[in-house]
Amino acid sequence: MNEYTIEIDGLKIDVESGQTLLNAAAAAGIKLPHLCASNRMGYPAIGSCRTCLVEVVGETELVAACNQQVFPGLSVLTNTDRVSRVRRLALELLEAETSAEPTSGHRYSEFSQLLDGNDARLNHFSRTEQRPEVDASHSAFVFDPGACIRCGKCQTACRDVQSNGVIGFAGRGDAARVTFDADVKMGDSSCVSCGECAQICPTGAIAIKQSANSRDRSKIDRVGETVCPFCSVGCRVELQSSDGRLTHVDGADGPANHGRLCVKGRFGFSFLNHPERLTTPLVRREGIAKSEGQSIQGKNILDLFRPASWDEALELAAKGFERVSQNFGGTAIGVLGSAKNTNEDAYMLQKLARVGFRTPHIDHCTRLCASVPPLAEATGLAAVTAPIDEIANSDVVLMVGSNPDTNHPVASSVMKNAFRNGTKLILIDPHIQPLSRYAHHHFRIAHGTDVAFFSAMTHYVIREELFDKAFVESRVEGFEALRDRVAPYTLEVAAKLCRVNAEDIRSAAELFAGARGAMSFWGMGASQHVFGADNIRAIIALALVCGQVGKPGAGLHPLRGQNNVQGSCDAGLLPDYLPGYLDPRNAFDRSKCNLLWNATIPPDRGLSIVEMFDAIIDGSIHGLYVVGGNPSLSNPNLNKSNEALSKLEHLVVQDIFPTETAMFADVILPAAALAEREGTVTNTDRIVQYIAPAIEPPGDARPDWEIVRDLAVKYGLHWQDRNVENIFAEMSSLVPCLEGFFWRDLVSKGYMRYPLESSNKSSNLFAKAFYRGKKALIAPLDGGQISEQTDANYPFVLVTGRVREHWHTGSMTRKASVLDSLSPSPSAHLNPRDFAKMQFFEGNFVEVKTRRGKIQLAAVRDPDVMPGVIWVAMSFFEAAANKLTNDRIDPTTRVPEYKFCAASVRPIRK
Amino acid sequence: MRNPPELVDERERRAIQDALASGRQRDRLLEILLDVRDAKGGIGISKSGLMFLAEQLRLYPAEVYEVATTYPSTKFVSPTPAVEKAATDLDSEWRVAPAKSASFFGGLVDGSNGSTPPRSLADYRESGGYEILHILKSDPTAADDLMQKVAALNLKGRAGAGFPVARKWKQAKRSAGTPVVVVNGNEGELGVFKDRFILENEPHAIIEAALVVAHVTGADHVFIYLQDEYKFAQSIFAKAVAETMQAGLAETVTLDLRRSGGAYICGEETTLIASLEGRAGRPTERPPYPSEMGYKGRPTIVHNVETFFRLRRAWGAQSDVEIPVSRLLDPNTSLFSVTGRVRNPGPKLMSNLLRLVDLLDLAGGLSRGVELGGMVVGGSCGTLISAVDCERPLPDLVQNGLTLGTGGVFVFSSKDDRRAIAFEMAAFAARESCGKCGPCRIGSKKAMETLVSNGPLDTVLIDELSTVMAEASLCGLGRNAGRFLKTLPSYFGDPQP
Ligand SMILES: Cc1cc2nc3c(=O)[nH]c(=O)nc-3n(C[C@H](O)[C@H](O)[C@H](O)COP(=O)(O)O)c2cc1C
Ligand code: SF4
Ligand code: SF4
Ligand code: SF4
Ligand code: FES
Repeated sequence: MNEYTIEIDGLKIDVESGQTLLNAAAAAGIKLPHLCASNRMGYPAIGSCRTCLVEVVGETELVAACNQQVFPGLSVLTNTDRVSRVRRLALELLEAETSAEPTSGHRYSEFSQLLDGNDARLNHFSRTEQRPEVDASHSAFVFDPGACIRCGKCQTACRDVQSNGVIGFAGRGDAARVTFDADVKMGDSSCVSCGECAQICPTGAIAIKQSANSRDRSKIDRVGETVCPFCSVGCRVELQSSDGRLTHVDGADGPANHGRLCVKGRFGFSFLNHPERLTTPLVRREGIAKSEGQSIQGKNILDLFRPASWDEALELAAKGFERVSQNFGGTAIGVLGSAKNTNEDAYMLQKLARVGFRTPHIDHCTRLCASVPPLAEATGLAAVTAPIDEIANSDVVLMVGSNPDTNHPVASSVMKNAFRNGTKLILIDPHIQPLSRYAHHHFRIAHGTDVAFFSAMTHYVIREELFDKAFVESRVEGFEALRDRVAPYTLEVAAKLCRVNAEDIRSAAELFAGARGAMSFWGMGASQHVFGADNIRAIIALALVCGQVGKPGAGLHPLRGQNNVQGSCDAGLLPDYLPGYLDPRNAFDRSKCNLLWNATIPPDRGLSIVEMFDAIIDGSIHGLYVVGGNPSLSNPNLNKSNEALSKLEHLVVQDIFPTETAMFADVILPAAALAEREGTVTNTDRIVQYIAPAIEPPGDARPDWEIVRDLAVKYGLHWQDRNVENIFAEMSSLVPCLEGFFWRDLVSKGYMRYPLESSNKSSNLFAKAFYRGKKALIAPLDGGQISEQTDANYPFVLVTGRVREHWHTGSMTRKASVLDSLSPSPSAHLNPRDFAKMQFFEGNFVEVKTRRGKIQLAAVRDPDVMPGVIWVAMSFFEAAANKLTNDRIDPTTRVPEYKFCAASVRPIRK
Repeated sequence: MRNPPELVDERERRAIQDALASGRQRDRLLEILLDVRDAKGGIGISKSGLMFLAEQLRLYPAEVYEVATTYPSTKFVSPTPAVEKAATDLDSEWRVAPAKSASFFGGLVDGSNGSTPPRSLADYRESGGYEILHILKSDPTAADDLMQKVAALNLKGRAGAGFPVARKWKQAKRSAGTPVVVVNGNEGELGVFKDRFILENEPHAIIEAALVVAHVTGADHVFIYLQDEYKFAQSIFAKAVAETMQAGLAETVTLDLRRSGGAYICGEETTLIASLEGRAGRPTERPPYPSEMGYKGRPTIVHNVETFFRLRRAWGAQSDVEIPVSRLLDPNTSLFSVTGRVRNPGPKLMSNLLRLVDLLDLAGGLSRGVELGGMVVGGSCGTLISAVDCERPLPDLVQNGLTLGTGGVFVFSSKDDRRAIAFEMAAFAARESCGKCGPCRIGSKKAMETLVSNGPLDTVLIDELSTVMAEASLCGLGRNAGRFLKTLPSYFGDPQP
């Protein structure tokens, strides 16, 4: 980049070319006045407020700093009498059009500050007499048109940055104003509550209802940054608090979000202050049985448990595991971690399991959505080949069984930015979803027919020789077998199986194969099947055959679930992998760990979550340590899981809330939330982010790694001196992709992407070779079939999923008041045709039943759902969808079948 | 979408589908809305129709709503804009009878220009029209020669600012992308109809010149953007464009006839381009200039109708006594739009105008019983000239800073309330402000409010408003309105002539 100096009021500053004067000045620490501009990514100059005008030496007219590109020799004056007067007048005019008592947030806004700073008073201009009605119809925001200066920034925020397109700027002249959709109230609009508008609004005219009154900077005593604890996008967040209570949340400039947030990140943090947070260790009271169906709802937890000191609780926890180990051996202990925690937490926990308890049975909830193993099988690296933002270089995108707009909203905004710029989307999803409107092709294939679909595309590109021959020859292994496997799948065969149009498959195949760069994304719609691994293999095979890996705009990207799935897997929180994906069954791999840890770890692959529960029922597992997971709600076939939990001899639950699972515990240990502690997390894009505590933990709650360390000490291990820094150093010595990572670099830079060599040049991997070698592997399929068929008794297909407002089992988001009011209750979604057939009415209570259980909830008419399908969100304990789901698992990924089971539905009176 | 679209009336749905049949590209959004309006007999699309259209085009409802509400020609029923309402409220308070908005500056009733019918393609070619295209095609050096000729003749844009034509072309050729040519026939200025006079008389002169510009700059697309209310000119052009294409004269260029959004601001080039792209009708700040980056990011050459007409001088087009408008090929001839208290208002061709009063003769003299009060020269943001100054040699006035702009001349009588005229001019700016930038949106309204009162002029307020509008407005509308306001204190400060 070109560098030179420019002059601002006689002061020479160094700038890089390609910047606006406003941003260049800001980078040099000179803050020029502005309102409608922002230096955040995706905000172009609007030019409406006219408060940034400056004099450019040699020009007669004043120039807007937000639109002026820097150039060598540029010299500007920002405080001449002329500039000051014009700026003051421009500000006074804006002030004159706001009404006398705008909302209180207004007082602390950028606009008010600029008015004060420029001595702008209503000298000559009279204020408007109109007092437009405040729109308070939305449960999360207020819009006060009387405070609005019509700068248009919220429209950019909503349309161009987040690509939600709800906010418009309608009308002419003095009637120009902010509108929602086709001029409806904000609460009735298609707003998805990401809050970008409220964050960017310079006047507070659009503000967050709950924190509009707490924006007074002087009252904020702590501002800290952390990473969002919900999805794997890994958005950076700024938390403002006062007296230890969270008052406001803003998006911070992180590598993945560039200041953006979604509804969960924006409003989800209020669980931090929830009164039900665990603040002290708890021990089950004498004589209280662990009975199935115990619910914490409406129950005083102190009826079941008594408070204890940390020392006593840890002692009891350790004793219990010792007892199990003595009676049945270490392998009778299971450990369940969570992908919500830090890398250090994950590493410590798996080490305690393997070294302390000497059990291989360690797993975490990634299992429930894992979509990566087939990728590791193909490339040798269990991580995405290209980050989400590579999509900006793609001309085609394949998206399978994923609904990022709901589940990874900020990633979706980046994708939608690309679609609006002309990237073509091939969407494969039975449901209509928010990205459907951007899709070039949307294939609503019949449930469970993914393999046939991709096989047909692959068959077609091979037969028509559209595939990338050179790439296949030099970079792919298993092509011949693939060619033979897909041979039966003509377009017509697939069209019939998938119930889509053959012509469309052909056109999509041509589009994908012909793209200069095409990225492939997949999500849980592909993986959460008993043949999920096969679905993914079929996608990968197509991409490899077309050479759509390792070049600009191309890549394979499984959209991961929890915020630290990547890091937890890297750290070895898995039954089949040690840290760095070393294989416990391989003596060489094992010896690496044994040497470093001075231990003898079990030489086996452990049981996965679902298998552990079977083992509890079988009587081979007797003790369970659950850290941050909630299997009572997240496991499939809940009734069975709860039976297992009540059978356990010793259960220790460590969490921030008394979860459904904790009700079965012997000891409950209160953990600090992610925002309350220090550590590192790794997002779906392979970016490792450092976080420092942003707010105080409540009561005696402590970081997970610390609790695990102290439990280990009680268990007889000499881990007293472990801290986050030396844990990280030990971990990175075992994990190859963390090679070259040092704690102090992470602390100072805030984040680093692995692998390090490529992060300098390109974040897109495998241009020359794969991790496993020069060639990627096209693996054969396991050939699984749908495990359960519909029949006369269970004529519907039940599909589970998520709503935008809630995360996972809702243990955090249901406790965030705004989120809960945006999405308060569970519902069963059915196609209007089925609605009519079953003679349901909107809001009718229905019972949804499968061969495993039943739940009751309201029925909703939803044209986005295919006929014959019932769609239920998983985040509601009132109607826990996983009472219904099937616990059959995929043989490769051991992921259960959440996305398909046979069900019936009938109306009930309530 | 949380709110399912309401049911669309069957007739309207058909109208929308018919409009979509001629192209579903987003950039046709304004055209589609106008087609629906016409199919509904002049009534704009309904809100439910708008939702349906958004779904069909896969646009956000907010985007369609914006387009429907920023272009008055869509006749979309939206809440009454505050300024328009204010203006009508003020109507009743007016003290002087003739100061009624529409008739005040006077336009011409559509289709009654009273001149000869448009010259046909055959006649036009007969007199050498379109020859130049053959020359350009057969002689590879001709394009460069022509460009040099245009530069040597120092041809200037006729939209008011007088920007050198050749410089715009060079900019476009230098910039990345295939250029686009736009004939700006929006003509939204108060009491100005000179372009219409040209359009209705010599359509082929404009088409020929636009094709030449396309050829010289390498453009493959020409938009002919005509004021929505110029129905007569539109029908003439629909025919002329079809003939031109049939005759194989535009083989490598797409000729695209478009209707305007019906606002003055639609003539501002970046807004014009926004309307061609189906986006809301508001300007964007320059740079980048359209000639560098305009329609869909491509270099876009926008010229006024008259500019295209006069361009033909560069390839030797001659005036013809049979065709009055062809006198414009003479650089010393100007085309004025004369309105107000004259017997015979209308477009007036004048060579070497010496004094403004000389225009009165061309317009049949002052209306009966009227004594000259003065003139407004240059439209809504023009200059108020006293009767005395109208007698002075024009070069003297020009030397003192008078610009003729697009040649609008409004003649008023000594009995007319000059304050009401100034109010009318300020009200025009307030009504036509797009509302994007603060200085113009708020300033023009405040100016209108202060001018309506009877008391002495608040010169401090006028000075502040004019300063901030002229210096800080985003586009020419607000800036010119500010400049006009700036002249008021001295004009009203002078004793009545
Ligand atoms: C508010 C406003 C309205 C305008 N309206 C017109 C118009 O109606 N016709 C026109 O030719 N130019 C109009 N212009 C000027 C155009 O932006 C552009 O400069 C012009 O078309 C260039 O033509 P020229 O090169 O022939 O001068 C307007 C400018 C502004 C600021
Ligand atoms: S609501 Fe805020 S961001 Fe939107 S136009 Fe008004 S002041 Fe600007
Ligand atoms: S839930 Fe995901 S997309 Fe939303 S703010 Fe958190 S990390 Fe970002
Ligand atoms: S000067 Fe007036 S017309 Fe131009 S952008 Fe500003 S508000 Fe719109
Ligand atoms: S910041 Fe430049 S015009 Fe608003």
